[in-house]
This record gives sequence, C-alpha cells and structure tokens, in this order.
Amino acid sequence: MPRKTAKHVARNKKKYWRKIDTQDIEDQLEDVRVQEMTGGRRSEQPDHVLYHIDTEHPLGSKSPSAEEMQVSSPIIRSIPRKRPPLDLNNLNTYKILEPHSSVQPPGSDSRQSRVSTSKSTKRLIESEKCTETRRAATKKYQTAVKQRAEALQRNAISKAEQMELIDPHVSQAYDLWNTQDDKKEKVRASVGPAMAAYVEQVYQTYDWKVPKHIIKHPSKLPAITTPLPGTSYNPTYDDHQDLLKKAVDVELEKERKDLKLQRNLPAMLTQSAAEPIKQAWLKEMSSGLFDDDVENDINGENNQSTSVSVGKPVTIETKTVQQRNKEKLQKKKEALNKAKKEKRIRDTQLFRIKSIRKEVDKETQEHGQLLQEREIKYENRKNYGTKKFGRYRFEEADLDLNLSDEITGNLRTMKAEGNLLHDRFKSLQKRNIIEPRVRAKPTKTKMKKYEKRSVREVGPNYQPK
Amino acid sequence: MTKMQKKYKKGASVNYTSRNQALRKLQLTLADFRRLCILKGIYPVEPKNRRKANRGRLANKTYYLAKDIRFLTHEPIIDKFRHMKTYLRRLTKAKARNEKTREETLRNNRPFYKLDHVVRERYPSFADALRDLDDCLTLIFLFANFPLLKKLYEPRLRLCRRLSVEFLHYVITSGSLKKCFISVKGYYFQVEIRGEIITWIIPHKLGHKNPADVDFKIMATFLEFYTTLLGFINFKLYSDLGLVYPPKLNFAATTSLSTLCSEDEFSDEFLASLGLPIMKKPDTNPVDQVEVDQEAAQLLGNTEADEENRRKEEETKTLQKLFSKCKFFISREIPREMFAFVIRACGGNVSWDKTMCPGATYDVSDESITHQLVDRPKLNDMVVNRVYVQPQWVFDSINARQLLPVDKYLPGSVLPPHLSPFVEEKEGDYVPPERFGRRQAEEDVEEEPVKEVPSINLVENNAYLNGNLKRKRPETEETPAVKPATKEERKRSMRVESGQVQNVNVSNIVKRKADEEKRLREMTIPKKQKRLYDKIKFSQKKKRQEVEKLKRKRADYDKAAKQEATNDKKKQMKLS
Repeated sequence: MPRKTAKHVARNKKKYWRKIDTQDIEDQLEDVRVQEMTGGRRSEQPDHVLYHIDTEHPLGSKSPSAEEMQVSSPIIRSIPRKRPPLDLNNLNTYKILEPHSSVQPPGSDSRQSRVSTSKSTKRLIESEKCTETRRAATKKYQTAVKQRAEALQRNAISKAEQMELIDPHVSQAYDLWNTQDDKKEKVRASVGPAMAAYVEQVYQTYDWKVPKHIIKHPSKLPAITTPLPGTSYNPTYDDHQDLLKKAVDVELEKERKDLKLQRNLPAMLTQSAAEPIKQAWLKEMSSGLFDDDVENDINGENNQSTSVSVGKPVTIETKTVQQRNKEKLQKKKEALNKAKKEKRIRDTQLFRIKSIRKEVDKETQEHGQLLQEREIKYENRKNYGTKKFGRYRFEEADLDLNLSDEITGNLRTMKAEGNLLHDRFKSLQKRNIIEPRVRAKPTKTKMKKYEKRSVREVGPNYQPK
Repeated sequence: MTKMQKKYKKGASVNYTSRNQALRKLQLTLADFRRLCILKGIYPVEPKNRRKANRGRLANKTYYLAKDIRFLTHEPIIDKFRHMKTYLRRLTKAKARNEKTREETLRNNRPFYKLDHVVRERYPSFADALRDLDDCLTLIFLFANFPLLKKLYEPRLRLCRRLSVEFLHYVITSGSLKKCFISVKGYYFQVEIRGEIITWIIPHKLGHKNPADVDFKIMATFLEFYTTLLGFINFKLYSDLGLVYPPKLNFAATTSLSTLCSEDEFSDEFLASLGLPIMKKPDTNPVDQVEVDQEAAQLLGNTEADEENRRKEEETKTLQKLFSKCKFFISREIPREMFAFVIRACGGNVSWDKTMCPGATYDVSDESITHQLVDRPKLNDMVVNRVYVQPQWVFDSINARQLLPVDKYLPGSVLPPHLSPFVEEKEGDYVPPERFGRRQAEEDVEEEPVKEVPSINLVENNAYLNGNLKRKRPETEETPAVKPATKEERKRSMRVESGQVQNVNVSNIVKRKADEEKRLREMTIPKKQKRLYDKIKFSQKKKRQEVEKLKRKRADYDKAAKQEATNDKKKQMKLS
C-alpha cells in the first residue's frame, strides 16, 4: 500500500509515521468508561442485575403500547418494572403470516390457467386473439396515418407561411425604409443602450458600418443614354444621316487604328517574300556538306586573284605638334568670341526687359492653361471614362441603326435592331460596374493519333511473310 | 532615430487587394465572389499606380479596395453561399445514388438568402432607390419578355412579369408618364415619380435571341437584386398612393368567361392586360407631393420656382387627361401591351379583340369607339363614326401634349417622321414646326414677357415713366422748331389745337428703358471680358440670322405648298 504521507518527508521524523485510524478503539474505551460510571462493566455483572422476568405481561397477553413503552423507557434499567402480560393472540410471529400488501390478491380464475380440453375451443381462443391483435394493429396504423397526414398538412401550411415571409421569389409586402428592428428596440428598451451595445457586440448582431463610397456610382454616365433621334423607327432624313455619319466615323476610326498598328508592327512576310530568305539560310547551313563546294572554291580562287579586300585601305594620318597648337589656339579664340557675343546679347536684353516680361507672362499663362486642360481631361476620365480592370479593355458596342433601305416607316414592318441584353451588358461594363471579360474557350484535349506498327508496315512494298 | 519604414506596409499596396487575394480572404470561389460583389454593389477599382499597388510588379490584375473586402467579410450571404455549396454536393450525391426521396427532401429544403438588408444598405432612403431605377426597370422588363428558359429560374421570371405589370399599373394610376419614343432598339418611356425622372426601355416583342458574348450568370445576379429592389419600391409607391398591394382589379374576373384556367390565373391575366383600373384602399387620402412642394414654395416665397412648378403641373394635367374623351380599339397587328399602357396612362379607354387577350371591355362593334388603331395598308369594312389611325399618332400626340390632326396618320398613308422627344433644343435653336411639343413651349416663352410686364408694379412704373416723358417731350419739340420769322406767322403758329389723348405704349417704354440699362451695363464691362462678350453676342446674332433664314424658307415653302394645293383644287373643279 502506498503511503499517503508526502514522500519528501524524512523517514526519521514522526511525520513519516504511518497513520492508523484509532476511532473504534477510542469508542470502545469511551463506552467502557461510561459503563464504569453507571454501575460497573456489564460484562462483569451477574445476570440477575441485568435481566428480570416479566410477570406483568405473561406470554400471550397484549403487548404494551408504544406510549407505555416510552413511559417505561429502558434507560432506567436499575429500577425493575412489571412487564405487561403477553398477548398470545397478537404475537408477531403470527402477524407476519397475515397478508400485508394493500394490493388485492388476483382472482382465483386468472391464477388458474384455463385448461381447455377440446381442440375446437383452443382454436376458437387462438383465432379470437389473432383478430384482436389484427384489429389493434389496424387501428394503430390508421391513427398513425391520420396523424401523419395532419402533421404534413400543418407542416406545409407553416412552411408556406414561412416561405411567404422569406422566399426571395415572392416580393415583400412591407415598407423597407420605414421599419425598425423590433427585436433590437425591445432589447434596448429593457437593458439600456450600453448593455444592448455589449449584447450586440457579443452576438455580432450590430449593423456593420457601411463604407460611404458604396452609395456612389463608379461612373457618372447615365444608365440609359438618351436615344439619338436617328434611331427612331421612322426618322427624319437629316437625323438618320447624322446617325449614319456617326457610325461611319466609328468604323473609320477603327480602321485607322488598325492601319496604324499594322504599320508599326514588323511586316508579316508572305510566303513568296520569305522564300529567298529561307533559301539563303538553307544554303548557309548546308555549306561544305555537299559536292557543289568545288564550284564555289573555283570561284573563290578567281576572286583572290583580283583583290584581297573589298574596301579601301585605311591610312592613319598623324598630326604634327604645330598643327595641334594651331588648333588649340583656334578653339580658344572661338570660345572667346562666343562669350563676347553672349555678353553683348545679354547687355542688349537689359533694354527689352518689358518685352521679356511679357513673354514670360505669356508662357506661364499658356502653361497654366495646359495644366487646366489636363485637369479637366483627368476629371472627365475619372467621371465618365471607362477604366481598365484586369487584362482586357472595354470595347464599345456597335451603334444600333437601320440602314437607309431598311427603314419602312411602318410599325408593323419595322426592323428591330440590336439586342437589349447585350446592350445592358455593355452598358454595365462601360460604367465600370463589371469588368470586361473574354469568354474562356472550352478546352479540348488533343487526340494523339498513331498507326499500329502492323498497319504501318503494309505499304506499297509490303510482302506478306 | 526613428525606426526604418519597411516597404509595402503603407499606402497603395495595403489599400488595394487583388481579386485573388480577396478570394482567399473570403474563402469563396470566383463565381460566388462575383455574385457577392454584384449584390453588395462592390465594384473593381483602377489604382492610380499599378506598380505601387502590386508591390512593384506590373501585372494586369483586377483590384478592389481593401476596405470593401473587409466590409464583405461580415456579410451573412457568404454563409448562405456555403450552405448552397453543401446542398449542391448532397444533391449530386443523392442523384448519383438514385435516392429519389432524399433528393426530393433536399430540393424542398433548398437554402436561399434574402437581400432586404442589402437593399437597405445600398439605398438608405427611398429617393436613392428611385434615382437608380433606370437600370432596374430595363432589366426587369427585358427578362419579363423572355421565354421560360431552362437557364433561368422560373419563379424569378414570373416575379419579373408580375413586378413589371405592377409598375405599369402604378404609372397608369398615378399618371406620371412624360415621354415615349419608338426606336429600333425598343420602346423608350420616361416617367416622373416624386421629382425623379426615370427612363427605361421595353424591348420589341420579336422573338428571343441569345447573344453569344453576354455572361448570363452575371445578368441573372443583377436581376436577383433588382427584383428585390423593385418589390420594395412597388410596395412603397402603392401604399403612398393609397392603392391596394398586390394590385387587384375593381372588376372581379369570373371563371365563367373561361373554364380553362383557375380564377387566380385568370385575374392575373386580366391584370396583366392593363386594360382595367385597379382597386384603391378605402378612406385614404394620398399625399400629393406636388401640392406639398407648392405649398412649401409659397411659404418660402419662391415665386419663380412656383411659376415653373405651376406650368409643369398644368402640363402633366393636360397629359393625364389627353385621351380622356377618346375610346380606343386596338387591332390585332399592333403590339397591344405598349399601346394599352400608353393610352391608359393618358386617361383613355382601351379595348381589343376578345380572342387576342383577356381584359377586353368592349367589342369592335361598339359605337362609342372614337379611334381605332390600325396598322395595315387596307381596310375592308369601316365604320363611319370613328377615326382610323396608325399607332404612331398616339405616341406623337403624347409627345406633343395635344391631340394631333389625324389626316396625316390615316391608314395606308406615308407617316410623318417620328421625332424623338429626348432631343433637348437649346435656347434660340431653330425648331421645325413638326416638333409640336417644343413649339408650344416656345410660344409660352414668347407670351410670358408680355404678361409679366404689366404685373411689375404697374402704377408706380407708369407714373414715373409718364413723368419722365412729360419732361422730355417739350425739349425734343423745342430743338428742331425753327423760329417763325414774321408776326403773322407767329400768330398763325400760336393757334390752339384740340387736345389729343396721349397714346403711351407702356410695354414699349419699358423695353426701351431696359435696353438702355443693358447698354449701360455693357459699357461697364472691362476690356478683357468685353471681347469675349462680343464674341458671344456675335455667335448669337449669327444663330438668330440662321434661324430667321430657316423660318423664312419654311414660310415660303408652306405658302407654295398651299398655293399648289389650291391650284390643284381649282384644276379639279375645272375638270369636273
């Protein structure tokens, strides 16, 4: 058994001693002491001191009642008392035999198993039992069905009600801009604003602060541009011509841009133009590989005989010291002259200060104008321009128009132009609400084709083995 | 020494987040992120310096404001997206296992989200929502005209139809239609609701074509938000006008007319036909915004605005009652819905063929019909006491704010051009007489000064001016008079003549006075600005001359045309 005392206590100390429960010994000693105080130890006393024969209540007479017993408390044992006569009719031994349960004993019929002798009665009983169970089962089933149906209906109704409240496809019938959160208000009223704020903090039910710029539109362009008068189904001649001109201008601008791009790109070589280059490359790469080198060699020899190099021979001309000195002097003179001239000009400029000031003023004014223009341009781009998000640039949609011969001037035979969905999509892109995207093409894995060797072998020179 | 600043801890690199970073932060797929951005109104931004925003790298990325993304993290819709993801996974699993009951239960408990709070967030006030209605209406009317595609969730399309019809009914009952225009793209309508001008397009009903380069998913997401928005707007508009919402007809549709559909469906059809008035709430006095504004203006003493408002109100009233005395019948070949809407919005009665659409209130044979809209070259049986016109007449009349003469719009005739009411003429531009609405406005402008002049403190002005004149007159008479030479002549000249009543043209005097003042003011203009002023004046003069020229030309042309007509008549008379 492990010791309960701490292990770190030294073993030669009293604290280390084993602790034993001595309560029972103490109790025993206490008992002995009490006995000695009240007339000696019981074990040492003779029997007649401890017991006496009850002559008042002989065996079989009525036993004393509880009160009497209490009165004749056993504490005062030293004073012997008369025992009540024994009530033989009321002995505990007999009482135990009497029934003590409040539950009535089962009837004599049920305790006896009905033993039916005949087979027919047996069968009858069995069939009766069978029908009874069946009936109970059906009843149970029916009630279950009924309950389920009711529950389903209840569920459906509640769900429909709920859906009406929550379903996004049923428009809401309440005033959004005039409602207050009742629940929150109630909490606030009952708890106080500070506590309510805390509760909201804990459950994260507070309204998040909405960034201010969310209310702003990313572009000041109108959602629906006013239609050009030329787009009328039955326009005036002038309006229609204006519209056509606009469309033509757009096309020309596109063409111009395309042309510019083409001009700036290195010209893509056509096959015929690329042919001589290819030939030259081939020749260069294959030089020295084939026999036709001999001819080249011969040609080379011929060339050697005429001249060594192609260009003129380079001769290095050196300058003499005298020449150098002269040049130096010349340079100095020139510099002096230049300085003089500059000084003269500066001196004369003193007299035209007024005009210079004018020039400066003009320049600053022009500069200011330029700045202003740039600022205006920037503002316009910021407010009305289409920005570039990501990889692709926004491309304007084509103008919707009827050509001159398509105008019928009649509502029934009118030719409708353009798709409104497309128009909306482009408008959203133009107003910086969504980014322009290019539809990803569905990727198709390439099939690898190869011929079986056995098939490949079957050629024009094939000879079966 | 201060601590050294590390690179990319401040400024553009922290303020912007690339799209991929945002996806990672929100733990969403790209498609979900796109939807969330559209619903919440978070748009990409273009950083001023791309290199700074992307830690020195120059990649073509889409950027968002980091604050916006942080704001998105609190969105409860994100949680719903995740629910949706699990739902789809479970559904596919059940489908693959061919567990029919499980599939059904899953379908019945499909997660969904509400956008109420988002609408409230994006449009803190009702006016904000109205201001942004153009896009919303166009998209909803567009989808309302779509066939039931498999790509689109059917209940949403039905909702679109319902909402669009509700809105049209509101416009009809409130009489807020201002302009309408038929273009090759569709029908443009403009209404004014609470001072906000709203324009939208309804496409022509000419078959559905799916454009290839439009991302349908994105448009459907926009639609999702806009349906919620328009639902709330419709409710608010209806309740403010004292109408029953959802709209109900005054007339109860009975199934006895048709046994093929339920009563609900039938009443919906009737409602959608726009031919009948809708029910109003009993005992409600809707607040007339215009009146309130006027009262406020009066209290403030803003007379100019008052005048303007009154004119506007008169115009709207005339427009509301434009067709009140007309009874229209729409023939089969005409887009019924648009014309029924427009006519009813201007106070007219309208009906159509019973077999064409439910909601027809009277037959072709009704004798009280005044106008029949017809768009076919020839008619076989015509009734005498009604006018047959081409449909353009309705739109042109509304834009002109008056019932135009019908002689140019008779069936089979070549129509006058359909002019756009959205073209705003500047002051002093030449306006062809075809532009009826404009002409009327111009006349008003011309009349106004004449009316105004006497109203400006007439008595005082008169007295002052008359006094002035009296003082001036003798002076002017004295200077040119040559002194009479002889006595006789003098005597003769001293004759007393009978007095004449002075004919003082007040308006003329006032005008002269104003001119003089103007001249004086012109003289005070400093030299620098004078040049600019002169330039402006010159350009105005040129413009006026141009206009005059055009007017003269037109007058000549009209005269010639008239003469020709009379000549033709004479010739005919002679021939006969």
